[in-house]
Amino acid sequence: MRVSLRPVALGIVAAALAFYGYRSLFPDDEGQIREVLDRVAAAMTVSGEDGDVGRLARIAALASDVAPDATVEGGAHPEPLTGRDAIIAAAVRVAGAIGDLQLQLVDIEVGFEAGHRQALVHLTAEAHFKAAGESGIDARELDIVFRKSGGRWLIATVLPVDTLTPVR
Amino acid sequence: MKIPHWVAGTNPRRRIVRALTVVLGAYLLLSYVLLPVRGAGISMFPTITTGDIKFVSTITYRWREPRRGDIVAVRMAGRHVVYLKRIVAMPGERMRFVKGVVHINGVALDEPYLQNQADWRSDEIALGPSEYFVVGDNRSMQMYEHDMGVVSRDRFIGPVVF
Repeated sequence: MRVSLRPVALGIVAAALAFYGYRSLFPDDEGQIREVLDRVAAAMTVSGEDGDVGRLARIAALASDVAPDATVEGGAHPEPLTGRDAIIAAAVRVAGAIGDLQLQLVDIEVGFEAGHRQALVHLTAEAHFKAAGESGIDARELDIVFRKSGGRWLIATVLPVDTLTPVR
Repeated sequence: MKIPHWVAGTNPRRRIVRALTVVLGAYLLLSYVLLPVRGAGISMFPTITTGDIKFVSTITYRWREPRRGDIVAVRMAGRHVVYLKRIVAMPGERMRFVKGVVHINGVALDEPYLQNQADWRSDEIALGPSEYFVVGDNRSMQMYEHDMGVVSRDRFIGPVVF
């Protein structure tokens, strides 16, 4: 007896496409968090050809993804940045000071805590930049805490992780 | 260029299977055995410079322990971005910089691969049972600009093999 595998293969492909489409339209918690991270990376990726207005508008739009009391540690200042407005203002300053900046967030791991009300994301942020005619690459390992508020996942805390424990 | 008969074959179906096997084999090799890494930055100069392609063996440390002098890939959150550094101090040792020279348990370490050494100084640190100290070969740069430090064994992906 000859059995055709074509209908089975087509069924598997159709099911996979349907699952992918459903996940794209209705992302689960991890999918929503990854979408926030995609928006952060896209907003902080700026080109020297971008207009100031468009650049600022993209970064300012990130405010809806940041908790009002969020904190960011490990920036240029020894004290952590506290509050959504201060964080967005700092991001605008960074993007304005660097002519070309490409931010990539890679090796993203998402874990959930507190009955899916909070998530801990571990990732590497890699920045390719060009400033004052010189180009460079910087990478940092980060822990980002997300909190669910009003059905949305918001960035609550950004903490740097020491890959190499420094000497003094 | 003529493709050898034993590679190309004459049967189209077999040719496709053969090509897919080669692609799959290369993918598996470069994903799970030899990790290709492109150098970026100056901290490993002159051994590794920006743009150099190096291959990291992901299986070597399954049958032997890391050694002093190994250039290792140290993972960050994963394998997409790694540090390439040299192991200079081993678990249980005491290590410090004195006038740019690494001292292990109070004795200067001979590092023939170095070219210039700036006047790096540090407090002595004692490494734990699974801790290593890794640093780049470019000791002519400012110490505060150079990423180096203590790293645990589980962050090693493997040594650079070529």
